[in-house]
Amino acid sequence: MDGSRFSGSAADADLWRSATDGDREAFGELFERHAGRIYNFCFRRLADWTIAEDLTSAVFLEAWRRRRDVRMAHDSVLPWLYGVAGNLIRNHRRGGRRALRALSRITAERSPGPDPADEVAARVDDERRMREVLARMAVLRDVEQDAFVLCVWQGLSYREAAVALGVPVGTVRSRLSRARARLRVGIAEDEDPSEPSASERHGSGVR
Amino acid sequence: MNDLMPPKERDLDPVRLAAMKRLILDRVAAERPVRRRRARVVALVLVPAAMIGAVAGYAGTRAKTAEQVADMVTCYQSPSVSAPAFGFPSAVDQDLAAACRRAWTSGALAWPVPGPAPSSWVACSGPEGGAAVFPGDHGATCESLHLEPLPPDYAGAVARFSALRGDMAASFPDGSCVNPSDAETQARTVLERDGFAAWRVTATGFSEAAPCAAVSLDPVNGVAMLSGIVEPALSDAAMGGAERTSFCGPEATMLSDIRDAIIAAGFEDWTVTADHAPSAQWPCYAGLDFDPATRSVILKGHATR
Repeated sequence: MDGSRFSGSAADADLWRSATDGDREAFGELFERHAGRIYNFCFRRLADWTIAEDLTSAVFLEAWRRRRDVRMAHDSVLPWLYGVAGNLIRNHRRGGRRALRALSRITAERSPGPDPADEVAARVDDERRMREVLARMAVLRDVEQDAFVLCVWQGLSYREAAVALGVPVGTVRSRLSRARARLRVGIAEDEDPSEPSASERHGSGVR
Repeated sequence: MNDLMPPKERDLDPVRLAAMKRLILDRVAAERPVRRRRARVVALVLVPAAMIGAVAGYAGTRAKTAEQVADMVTCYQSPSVSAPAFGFPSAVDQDLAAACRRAWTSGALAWPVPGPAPSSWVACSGPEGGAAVFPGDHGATCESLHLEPLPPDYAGAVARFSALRGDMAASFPDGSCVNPSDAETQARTVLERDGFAAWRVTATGFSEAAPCAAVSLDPVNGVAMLSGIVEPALSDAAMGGAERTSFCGPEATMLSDIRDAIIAAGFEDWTVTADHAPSAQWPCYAGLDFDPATRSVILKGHATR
Protein backbone atom coordinates (compact mmCIF):
# COMPACT_ATOMS: atom_id res chain seq x y z
CA MET A 1 0.00 0.00 0.00
CA ASP A 2 1.19 3.45 -0.82
CA GLY A 3 2.00 5.67 2.10
CA SER A 4 -0.40 8.46 2.84
CA ARG A 5 0.30 11.95 4.11
CA PHE A 6 -3.31 12.35 5.20
CA SER A 7 -4.46 11.50 8.67
CA GLY A 8 -7.38 9.15 9.08
CA SER A 9 -9.33 11.99 10.62
CA ALA A 10 -9.20 14.24 7.57
CA ALA A 11 -12.79 14.96 6.61
CA ASP A 12 -14.07 13.64 3.30
CA ALA A 13 -15.12 17.14 2.33
CA ASP A 14 -11.60 18.48 2.87
CA LEU A 15 -10.08 15.61 0.91
CA TRP A 16 -12.58 16.07 -1.89
CA ARG A 17 -11.82 19.78 -2.05
CA SER A 18 -8.10 19.06 -2.23
CA ALA A 19 -8.68 16.43 -4.88
CA THR A 20 -10.72 18.72 -7.09
CA ASP A 21 -7.99 21.32 -6.72
CA GLY A 22 -5.62 18.85 -8.31
CA ASP A 23 -4.29 16.89 -5.33
CA ARG A 24 -4.19 13.30 -6.57
CA GLU A 25 -3.11 11.95 -3.22
CA ALA A 26 -6.25 13.29 -1.64
CA PHE A 27 -8.35 11.36 -4.13
CA GLY A 28 -6.22 8.31 -3.45
CA GLU A 29 -6.93 8.66 0.25
CA LEU A 30 -10.66 8.78 -0.45
CA PHE A 31 -10.32 5.69 -2.59
CA GLU A 32 -8.55 3.77 0.16
CA ARG A 33 -11.10 4.97 2.69
CA HIS A 34 -14.22 3.89 0.81
CA ALA A 35 -13.23 1.27 -1.77
CA GLY A 36 -13.99 -1.62 0.57
CA ARG A 37 -17.55 -0.50 1.25
CA ILE A 38 -18.21 0.13 -2.42
CA TYR A 39 -16.71 -3.26 -3.29
CA ASN A 40 -19.05 -5.07 -0.94
CA PHE A 41 -22.03 -2.99 -2.05
CA CYS A 42 -21.39 -3.91 -5.69
CA PHE A 43 -21.10 -7.57 -4.71
CA ARG A 44 -24.37 -7.45 -2.82
CA ARG A 45 -26.16 -6.10 -5.87
CA LEU A 46 -24.55 -8.43 -8.43
CA ALA A 47 -23.37 -11.55 -6.56
CA ASP A 48 -20.05 -11.57 -8.37
CA TRP A 49 -16.81 -10.65 -6.62
CA THR A 50 -14.84 -10.18 -9.84
CA ILE A 51 -17.36 -7.80 -11.34
CA ALA A 52 -17.62 -6.05 -7.99
CA GLU A 53 -13.90 -5.40 -8.06
CA ASP A 54 -14.03 -4.06 -11.60
CA LEU A 55 -16.99 -1.86 -10.79
CA THR A 56 -15.29 -0.50 -7.68
CA SER A 57 -12.57 1.02 -9.80
CA ALA A 58 -15.15 2.20 -12.30
CA VAL A 59 -17.11 3.89 -9.52
CA PHE A 60 -14.14 6.01 -8.51
CA LEU A 61 -13.29 6.90 -12.09
CA GLU A 62 -16.90 7.94 -12.63
CA ALA A 63 -16.89 9.82 -9.34
CA TRP A 64 -13.84 11.73 -10.48
CA ARG A 65 -15.51 12.59 -13.75
CA ARG A 66 -18.54 13.85 -11.85
CA ARG A 67 -16.51 15.41 -9.06
CA ARG A 68 -18.26 18.78 -9.42
CA ASP A 69 -21.61 17.10 -8.70
CA VAL A 70 -20.62 15.59 -5.36
CA ARG A 71 -23.02 15.77 -2.41
CA MET A 72 -21.82 15.18 1.12
CA ALA A 73 -23.96 13.58 3.82
CA HIS A 74 -22.85 13.81 7.43
CA ASP A 75 -19.57 15.08 5.95
CA SER A 76 -19.13 11.74 4.21
CA VAL A 77 -18.86 11.20 0.48
CA LEU A 78 -19.74 7.53 0.86
CA PRO A 79 -23.52 7.87 0.31
CA TRP A 80 -22.92 9.76 -2.91
CA LEU A 81 -20.44 7.09 -4.01
CA TYR A 82 -23.15 4.49 -3.39
CA GLY A 83 -25.32 6.47 -5.78
CA VAL A 84 -22.60 6.48 -8.42
CA ALA A 85 -22.19 2.75 -7.88
CA GLY A 86 -25.91 2.18 -8.25
CA ASN A 87 -25.92 3.88 -11.63
CA LEU A 88 -22.98 1.83 -12.86
CA ILE A 89 -24.58 -1.37 -11.62
CA ARG A 90 -27.69 -0.56 -13.61
CA ASN A 91 -25.54 0.15 -16.66
CA HIS A 92 -23.76 -3.12 -16.16
CA ARG A 93 -27.02 -5.06 -15.92
CA ARG A 94 -28.23 -3.61 -19.15
CA GLY A 95 -24.94 -4.45 -20.81
CA GLY A 96 -24.21 -0.77 -20.99
CA ARG A 97 -21.38 0.28 -23.20
CA ARG A 98 -20.16 2.80 -20.69
CA ALA A 99 -19.83 0.25 -17.91
CA LEU A 100 -18.21 -2.27 -20.19
CA ARG A 101 -15.75 0.31 -21.33
CA ALA A 102 -14.67 0.95 -17.77
CA LEU A 103 -14.51 -2.76 -17.08
CA SER A 104 -12.22 -3.42 -19.98
CA ARG A 105 -9.78 -0.85 -18.76
CA ILE A 106 -9.86 -1.96 -15.16
CA THR A 107 -9.46 -5.62 -16.00
CA ALA A 108 -6.38 -4.70 -17.95
CA GLU A 109 -4.75 -3.39 -14.85
CA ARG A 110 -5.69 -6.21 -12.51
CA SER A 111 -2.87 -7.67 -10.51
CA PRO A 112 -2.27 -11.28 -11.57
CA GLY A 113 -1.44 -12.45 -8.07
CA PRO A 114 -2.08 -15.99 -6.85
CA ASP A 115 -5.56 -16.93 -5.74
CA PRO A 116 -5.53 -19.78 -3.17
CA ALA A 117 -8.03 -22.54 -3.79
CA ASP A 118 -9.79 -22.18 -0.44
CA GLU A 119 -10.23 -18.48 -1.01
CA VAL A 120 -11.71 -19.20 -4.43
CA ALA A 121 -14.05 -21.79 -2.93
CA ALA A 122 -15.19 -19.37 -0.24
CA ARG A 123 -15.91 -16.73 -2.83
CA VAL A 124 -17.84 -19.19 -4.96
CA ASP A 125 -19.90 -20.04 -1.87
CA ASP A 126 -20.47 -16.33 -1.26
CA GLU A 127 -21.68 -15.87 -4.79
CA ARG A 128 -24.07 -18.81 -4.61
CA ARG A 129 -25.44 -17.55 -1.30
CA MET A 130 -25.77 -14.02 -2.64
CA ARG A 131 -27.64 -15.23 -5.71
CA GLU A 132 -30.10 -16.98 -3.42
CA VAL A 133 -30.61 -13.82 -1.40
CA LEU A 134 -31.05 -11.71 -4.50
CA ALA A 135 -33.55 -14.22 -5.84
CA ARG A 136 -35.65 -13.56 -2.75
CA MET A 137 -35.19 -9.85 -3.26
CA ALA A 138 -36.55 -10.13 -6.78
CA VAL A 139 -40.06 -9.59 -5.46
CA LEU A 140 -39.03 -5.97 -4.97
CA ARG A 141 -38.82 -3.27 -7.58
CA ASP A 142 -35.29 -2.11 -8.24
CA VAL A 143 -35.82 1.16 -6.40
CA GLU A 144 -37.09 -0.75 -3.38
CA GLN A 145 -34.11 -3.07 -3.51
CA ASP A 146 -31.81 -0.03 -3.57
CA ALA A 147 -33.44 1.41 -0.48
CA PHE A 148 -33.35 -1.92 1.34
CA VAL A 149 -29.72 -2.66 0.53
CA LEU A 150 -28.52 0.82 1.47
CA CYS A 151 -30.49 1.15 4.71
CA VAL A 152 -30.47 -2.44 5.97
CA TRP A 153 -27.30 -4.00 4.64
CA GLN A 154 -25.04 -0.98 4.25
CA GLY A 155 -26.32 0.79 7.34
CA LEU A 156 -27.13 4.17 5.82
CA SER A 157 -29.55 6.52 7.49
CA TYR A 158 -32.61 7.66 5.55
CA ARG A 159 -30.91 10.96 4.89
CA GLU A 160 -27.76 9.31 3.60
CA ALA A 161 -29.78 6.93 1.44
CA ALA A 162 -31.65 9.91 0.05
CA VAL A 163 -28.34 11.40 -1.06
CA ALA A 164 -27.28 8.09 -2.57
CA LEU A 165 -30.54 7.64 -4.46
CA GLY A 166 -31.07 11.29 -5.36
CA VAL A 167 -34.61 11.28 -3.94
CA PRO A 168 -36.29 12.97 -0.98
CA VAL A 169 -36.02 11.37 2.44
CA GLY A 170 -39.73 10.63 2.40
CA THR A 171 -39.32 8.60 -0.76
CA VAL A 172 -36.65 6.51 0.91
CA ARG A 173 -38.99 5.88 3.83
CA SER A 174 -41.85 4.82 1.60
CA ARG A 175 -39.67 2.59 -0.56
CA LEU A 176 -38.19 0.90 2.47
CA SER A 177 -41.62 0.51 3.97
CA ARG A 178 -42.90 -1.19 0.86
CA ALA A 179 -39.81 -3.37 0.76
CA ARG A 180 -40.34 -4.44 4.34
CA ALA A 181 -43.96 -5.25 3.65
CA ARG A 182 -43.18 -7.31 0.60
CA LEU A 183 -40.33 -9.16 2.23
CA ARG A 184 -42.17 -9.54 5.53
CA VAL A 185 -38.90 -9.45 7.32
CA GLY A 186 -40.41 -7.90 10.40
CA ILE A 187 -37.97 -5.05 10.83
CA ALA A 188 -39.41 -3.14 13.74
CA GLU A 189 -40.04 0.54 13.33
CA ASP A 190 -37.85 1.22 16.36
CA GLU A 191 -34.97 -0.13 14.30
CA ASP A 192 -35.34 2.91 12.08
CA PRO A 193 -31.86 3.41 10.66
CA SER A 194 -32.04 7.19 10.67
CA GLU A 195 -29.27 7.37 13.25
CA PRO A 196 -26.49 6.72 13.80
CA SER A 197 -25.06 7.42 10.41
CA ALA A 198 -23.12 4.94 8.35
CA SER A 199 -19.92 6.83 9.00
CA GLU A 200 -20.46 6.58 12.72
CA ARG A 201 -21.27 2.88 12.53
CA HIS A 202 -18.30 2.04 10.41
CA GLY A 203 -15.63 4.15 12.00
CA SER A 204 -15.35 6.91 9.40
CA GLY A 205 -15.90 4.32 6.70
CA VAL A 206 -12.37 2.96 6.99
CA ARG A 207 -12.04 -0.72 6.33
CA MET B 1 -34.89 -12.66 7.96
CA ASN B 2 -32.02 -15.12 7.80
CA ASP B 3 -32.93 -15.77 4.18
CA LEU B 4 -32.05 -12.15 3.52
CA MET B 5 -28.68 -12.10 5.20
CA PRO B 6 -25.93 -11.51 2.63
CA PRO B 7 -22.53 -13.17 3.05
CA LYS B 8 -20.12 -11.33 5.31
CA GLU B 9 -18.19 -8.48 3.82
CA ARG B 10 -14.73 -9.11 2.45
CA ASP B 11 -11.71 -6.88 2.20
CA LEU B 12 -10.09 -6.14 -1.11
CA ASP B 13 -6.74 -7.82 -1.52
CA PRO B 14 -4.15 -5.16 -0.57
CA VAL B 15 -2.09 -5.80 -3.70
CA ARG B 16 -5.12 -5.37 -5.90
CA LEU B 17 -6.27 -2.36 -3.94
CA ALA B 18 -2.91 -0.71 -4.54
CA ALA B 19 -3.02 -1.60 -8.24
CA MET B 20 -6.53 -0.22 -8.53
CA LYS B 21 -5.50 2.97 -6.77
CA ARG B 22 -2.50 3.37 -9.06
CA LEU B 23 -4.68 2.88 -12.13
CA ILE B 24 -7.26 5.37 -10.95
CA LEU B 25 -4.72 8.02 -10.10
CA ASP B 26 -2.99 7.49 -13.43
CA ARG B 27 -6.30 8.01 -15.19
CA VAL B 28 -7.02 11.08 -13.11
CA ALA B 29 -3.62 12.51 -13.96
CA ALA B 30 -4.12 11.77 -17.65
CA GLU B 31 -7.47 13.48 -17.83
CA ARG B 32 -7.79 16.30 -20.30
CA PRO B 33 -9.93 19.39 -19.61
CA VAL B 34 -13.61 18.49 -19.76
CA ARG B 35 -15.37 19.66 -22.89
CA ARG B 36 -18.64 21.47 -22.68
CA ARG B 37 -21.73 19.50 -23.49
CA ARG B 38 -23.00 19.85 -27.00
CA ALA B 39 -25.75 18.27 -28.95
CA ARG B 40 -24.65 14.70 -29.23
CA VAL B 41 -23.04 12.04 -27.20
CA VAL B 42 -20.03 9.89 -27.87
CA ALA B 43 -19.44 6.68 -25.97
CA LEU B 44 -16.23 4.72 -26.29
CA VAL B 45 -16.18 0.99 -26.66
CA LEU B 46 -12.99 -0.97 -26.88
CA VAL B 47 -13.80 -3.91 -29.08
CA PRO B 48 -11.48 -6.91 -28.94
CA ALA B 49 -9.31 -6.66 -31.98
CA ALA B 50 -9.47 -10.38 -32.48
CA MET B 51 -13.17 -10.10 -33.26
CA ILE B 52 -12.69 -7.20 -35.61
CA GLY B 53 -9.76 -8.80 -37.32
CA ALA B 54 -11.74 -11.93 -37.93
CA VAL B 55 -14.56 -9.96 -39.51
CA ALA B 56 -12.16 -7.99 -41.62
CA GLY B 57 -10.58 -11.14 -42.89
CA TYR B 58 -7.17 -9.88 -42.01
CA ALA B 59 -6.13 -12.98 -40.12
CA GLY B 60 -3.61 -14.94 -42.02
CA THR B 61 -0.13 -16.26 -41.93
CA ARG B 62 1.53 -12.88 -42.29
CA ALA B 63 3.59 -11.99 -39.21
CA LYS B 64 1.92 -9.29 -37.20
CA THR B 65 3.65 -6.27 -35.79
CA ALA B 66 3.82 -5.72 -32.06
CA GLU B 67 1.17 -2.99 -32.35
CA GLN B 68 -1.23 -5.43 -34.00
CA VAL B 69 -1.15 -7.86 -31.09
CA ALA B 70 -0.86 -5.39 -28.23
CA ASP B 71 -4.49 -5.04 -27.20
CA MET B 72 -5.65 -8.41 -25.90
CA VAL B 73 -4.32 -11.51 -24.18
CA THR B 74 -5.94 -14.92 -24.56
CA CYS B 75 -4.96 -17.83 -22.32
CA TYR B 76 -5.62 -21.35 -23.63
CA GLN B 77 -6.16 -24.51 -21.61
CA SER B 78 -3.90 -26.58 -23.85
CA PRO B 79 -1.56 -26.00 -26.82
CA SER B 80 -4.38 -25.69 -29.35
CA VAL B 81 -6.17 -22.67 -30.75
CA SER B 82 -9.43 -24.59 -30.40
CA ALA B 83 -8.91 -25.29 -26.69
CA PRO B 84 -11.05 -23.53 -24.05
CA ALA B 85 -9.74 -20.01 -23.68
CA PHE B 86 -10.15 -16.83 -21.66
CA GLY B 87 -9.36 -13.38 -23.03
CA PHE B 88 -8.77 -10.05 -21.34
CA PRO B 89 -7.24 -6.69 -22.26
CA SER B 90 -3.49 -6.33 -22.14
CA ALA B 91 -1.82 -4.23 -19.45
CA VAL B 92 1.47 -2.47 -19.01
CA ASP B 93 4.17 -4.63 -17.37
CA GLN B 94 1.81 -7.59 -17.33
CA ASP B 95 3.32 -10.98 -16.52
CA LEU B 96 1.47 -13.11 -19.07
CA ALA B 97 2.28 -16.43 -17.39
CA ALA B 98 1.12 -15.18 -14.00
CA ALA B 99 -2.03 -13.74 -15.53
CA CYS B 100 -2.84 -17.04 -17.24
CA ARG B 101 -2.14 -19.02 -14.06
CA ARG B 102 -4.59 -16.78 -12.27
CA ALA B 103 -7.19 -17.23 -15.00
CA TRP B 104 -6.67 -20.96 -14.60
CA THR B 105 -6.91 -21.16 -10.80
CA SER B 106 -9.87 -18.80 -10.62
CA GLY B 107 -11.89 -20.99 -12.95
CA ALA B 108 -12.23 -18.26 -15.55
CA LEU B 109 -10.42 -20.32 -18.15
CA ALA B 110 -12.32 -23.54 -17.50
CA TRP B 111 -14.74 -24.67 -14.81
CA PRO B 112 -14.36 -26.86 -12.82
CA VAL B 113 -10.69 -25.90 -12.52
CA PRO B 114 -8.83 -28.56 -14.52
CA GLY B 115 -6.17 -29.37 -11.93
CA PRO B 116 -3.14 -27.33 -10.90
CA ALA B 117 -2.20 -24.47 -13.17
CA PRO B 118 0.74 -25.11 -15.51
CA SER B 119 3.90 -23.42 -14.29
CA SER B 120 5.24 -22.66 -17.76
CA TRP B 121 3.50 -20.86 -20.58
CA VAL B 122 4.49 -19.82 -24.09
CA ALA B 123 3.24 -16.61 -25.70
CA CYS B 124 2.62 -16.38 -29.44
CA SER B 125 1.02 -13.85 -31.78
CA GLY B 126 -2.65 -14.77 -31.78
CA PRO B 127 -4.17 -16.15 -34.96
CA GLU B 128 -6.57 -13.19 -35.14
CA GLY B 129 -4.60 -10.60 -33.20
CA GLY B 130 -3.67 -10.24 -29.57
CA ALA B 131 -1.24 -12.38 -27.60
CA ALA B 132 -2.10 -16.09 -27.42
CA VAL B 133 -0.65 -17.84 -24.38
CA PHE B 134 -0.47 -21.64 -24.18
CA PRO B 135 0.75 -24.10 -21.55
CA GLY B 136 4.24 -25.17 -22.57
CA ASP B 137 7.89 -24.80 -21.89
CA HIS B 138 9.60 -24.66 -25.23
CA GLY B 139 9.80 -22.25 -28.11
CA ALA B 140 8.54 -24.76 -30.64
CA THR B 141 5.00 -24.41 -29.29
CA CYS B 142 4.22 -21.42 -31.50
CA GLU B 143 5.71 -23.04 -34.56
CA SER B 144 3.78 -26.25 -33.99
CA LEU B 145 0.59 -24.21 -33.94
CA HIS B 146 1.63 -22.32 -37.10
CA LEU B 147 1.81 -19.11 -35.10
CA GLU B 148 4.51 -16.48 -34.92
CA PRO B 149 6.22 -15.83 -31.59
CA LEU B 150 5.38 -12.55 -29.89
CA PRO B 151 7.33 -9.70 -31.52
CA PRO B 152 10.36 -8.67 -29.46
CA ASP B 153 9.04 -5.18 -28.79
CA TYR B 154 5.67 -6.47 -27.51
CA ALA B 155 6.01 -4.84 -24.09
CA GLY B 156 6.68 -1.43 -25.60
CA ALA B 157 3.75 -1.82 -27.96
CA VAL B 158 1.45 -2.69 -25.07
CA ALA B 159 2.56 0.47 -23.27
CA ARG B 160 1.87 2.56 -26.36
CA PHE B 161 -1.51 0.95 -27.00
CA SER B 162 -2.51 1.27 -23.36
CA ALA B 163 -1.71 4.98 -23.54
CA LEU B 164 -3.85 5.29 -26.66
CA ARG B 165 -6.69 3.38 -25.01
CA GLY B 166 -6.50 5.61 -21.96
CA ASP B 167 -6.26 8.81 -23.95
CA MET B 168 -9.23 7.86 -26.12
CA ALA B 169 -11.23 7.19 -22.99
CA ALA B 170 -10.16 10.51 -21.48
CA SER B 171 -11.01 12.36 -24.68
CA PHE B 172 -14.52 10.94 -24.79
CA PRO B 173 -15.65 10.86 -21.16
CA ASP B 174 -19.01 9.29 -20.47
CA GLY B 175 -21.85 11.67 -20.94
CA SER B 176 -19.82 14.17 -22.90
CA CYS B 177 -21.58 15.44 -25.96
CA VAL B 178 -19.60 15.61 -29.15
CA ASN B 179 -20.78 16.13 -32.68
CA PRO B 180 -19.77 13.06 -34.77
CA SER B 181 -17.72 15.12 -37.19
CA ASP B 182 -15.92 16.70 -34.25
CA ALA B 183 -15.47 13.22 -32.84
CA GLU B 184 -13.62 12.20 -35.99
CA THR B 185 -11.32 15.17 -35.61
CA GLN B 186 -10.90 14.45 -31.94
CA ALA B 187 -10.06 10.79 -32.53
CA ARG B 188 -7.59 11.79 -35.21
CA THR B 189 -5.93 14.22 -32.82
CA VAL B 190 -5.52 11.52 -30.17
CA LEU B 191 -4.12 9.05 -32.70
CA GLU B 192 -1.55 11.53 -33.93
CA ARG B 193 -0.59 12.69 -30.47
CA ASP B 194 -0.02 9.09 -29.31
CA GLY B 195 2.03 8.06 -32.33
CA PHE B 196 -0.68 6.24 -34.29
CA ALA B 197 -0.84 8.71 -37.16
CA ALA B 198 -1.01 5.91 -39.72
CA TRP B 199 -4.34 4.70 -38.33
CA ARG B 200 -7.56 5.49 -40.14
CA VAL B 201 -10.73 6.89 -38.60
CA THR B 202 -14.02 5.61 -40.00
CA ALA B 203 -17.61 6.59 -39.25
CA THR B 204 -20.62 4.39 -40.04
CA GLY B 205 -24.24 3.98 -39.08
CA PHE B 206 -25.03 7.56 -38.21
CA SER B 207 -28.54 8.75 -38.87
CA GLU B 208 -31.12 11.05 -37.42
CA ALA B 209 -32.20 8.20 -35.17
CA ALA B 210 -28.63 7.21 -34.31
CA PRO B 211 -26.87 10.52 -33.89
CA CYS B 212 -24.37 9.50 -31.21
CA ALA B 213 -21.15 7.58 -31.56
CA ALA B 214 -19.41 4.59 -30.07
CA VAL B 215 -15.67 4.35 -30.69
CA SER B 216 -13.91 1.04 -31.26
CA LEU B 217 -10.19 0.46 -31.66
CA ASP B 218 -8.91 -2.12 -34.12
CA PRO B 219 -5.12 -2.45 -33.82
CA VAL B 220 -4.98 -5.35 -36.27
CA ASN B 221 -6.15 -3.15 -39.11
CA GLY B 222 -5.15 0.18 -37.58
CA VAL B 223 -8.61 1.70 -37.45
CA ALA B 224 -10.50 3.82 -34.93
CA MET B 225 -14.14 3.23 -35.80
CA LEU B 226 -16.99 5.58 -34.93
CA SER B 227 -20.40 3.89 -35.05
CA GLY B 228 -23.78 5.58 -34.77
CA ILE B 229 -25.88 4.67 -31.75
CA VAL B 230 -29.12 6.00 -30.31
CA GLU B 231 -29.16 8.84 -27.84
CA PRO B 232 -28.53 7.78 -24.24
CA ALA B 233 -31.67 9.66 -23.23
CA LEU B 234 -33.69 7.17 -25.29
CA SER B 235 -31.92 4.09 -23.97
CA ASP B 236 -32.13 5.37 -20.40
CA ALA B 237 -35.85 6.08 -20.74
CA ALA B 238 -36.53 2.67 -22.28
CA MET B 239 -34.55 0.97 -19.54
CA GLY B 240 -36.45 2.89 -16.92
CA GLY B 241 -39.73 1.73 -18.43
CA ALA B 242 -38.60 -1.86 -18.57
CA GLU B 243 -37.37 -1.75 -14.99
CA ARG B 244 -40.85 -0.89 -13.74
CA THR B 245 -41.63 -4.57 -14.07
CA SER B 246 -38.02 -5.74 -13.76
CA PHE B 247 -38.10 -6.91 -17.39
CA CYS B 248 -40.80 -9.46 -16.58
CA GLY B 249 -44.17 -9.87 -18.27
CA PRO B 250 -47.02 -9.56 -18.99
CA GLU B 251 -45.87 -8.43 -22.38
CA ALA B 252 -48.56 -5.79 -22.88
CA THR B 253 -47.69 -4.12 -19.59
CA MET B 254 -44.02 -4.04 -20.44
CA LEU B 255 -44.59 -2.60 -23.88
CA SER B 256 -46.88 0.02 -22.43
CA ASP B 257 -44.44 0.97 -19.65
CA ILE B 258 -41.58 1.38 -22.08
CA ARG B 259 -43.72 3.27 -24.54
CA ASP B 260 -44.87 5.69 -21.83
CA ALA B 261 -41.30 6.22 -20.69
CA ILE B 262 -39.86 7.00 -24.09
CA ILE B 263 -42.75 9.33 -24.95
CA ALA B 264 -42.13 11.17 -21.70
CA ALA B 265 -38.49 11.51 -22.76
CA GLY B 266 -39.50 13.03 -26.08
CA PHE B 267 -39.14 10.01 -28.35
CA GLU B 268 -42.76 9.62 -29.35
CA ASP B 269 -41.78 8.61 -32.90
CA TRP B 270 -40.26 5.34 -31.64
CA THR B 271 -42.26 2.12 -31.31
CA VAL B 272 -41.80 -0.74 -28.87
CA THR B 273 -41.95 -4.42 -29.77
CA ALA B 274 -40.88 -7.80 -28.39
CA ASP B 275 -39.17 -10.48 -30.42
CA HIS B 276 -41.07 -13.21 -28.58
CA ALA B 277 -43.82 -13.59 -26.01
CA PRO B 278 -42.87 -14.43 -22.43
CA SER B 279 -43.64 -17.95 -21.25
CA ALA B 280 -44.03 -19.75 -17.95
CA GLN B 281 -40.49 -21.05 -18.28
CA TRP B 282 -39.05 -17.70 -19.37
CA PRO B 283 -41.29 -15.02 -17.90
CA CYS B 284 -38.76 -12.22 -18.31
CA TYR B 285 -36.73 -10.61 -21.05
CA ALA B 286 -32.94 -10.40 -20.93
CA GLY B 287 -32.56 -6.90 -22.32
CA LEU B 288 -33.35 -4.27 -24.91
CA ASP B 289 -32.11 -3.57 -28.38
CA PHE B 290 -32.61 -0.55 -30.60
CA ASP B 291 -33.15 -0.50 -34.35
CA PRO B 292 -32.60 3.04 -35.63
CA ALA B 293 -33.75 2.08 -39.15
CA THR B 294 -37.28 1.32 -37.96
CA ARG B 295 -37.05 3.46 -34.82
CA SER B 296 -37.93 0.43 -32.74
CA VAL B 297 -37.12 -0.53 -29.18
CA ILE B 298 -37.08 -4.32 -29.05
CA LEU B 299 -37.40 -6.53 -25.98
CA LYS B 300 -35.10 -9.48 -26.47
CA GLY B 301 -33.72 -12.59 -24.82
CA HIS B 302 -35.09 -15.12 -22.37
CA ALA B 303 -34.67 -14.79 -18.60
CA THR B 304 -36.13 -16.12 -15.39
CA ARG B 305 -37.26 -14.00 -12.49
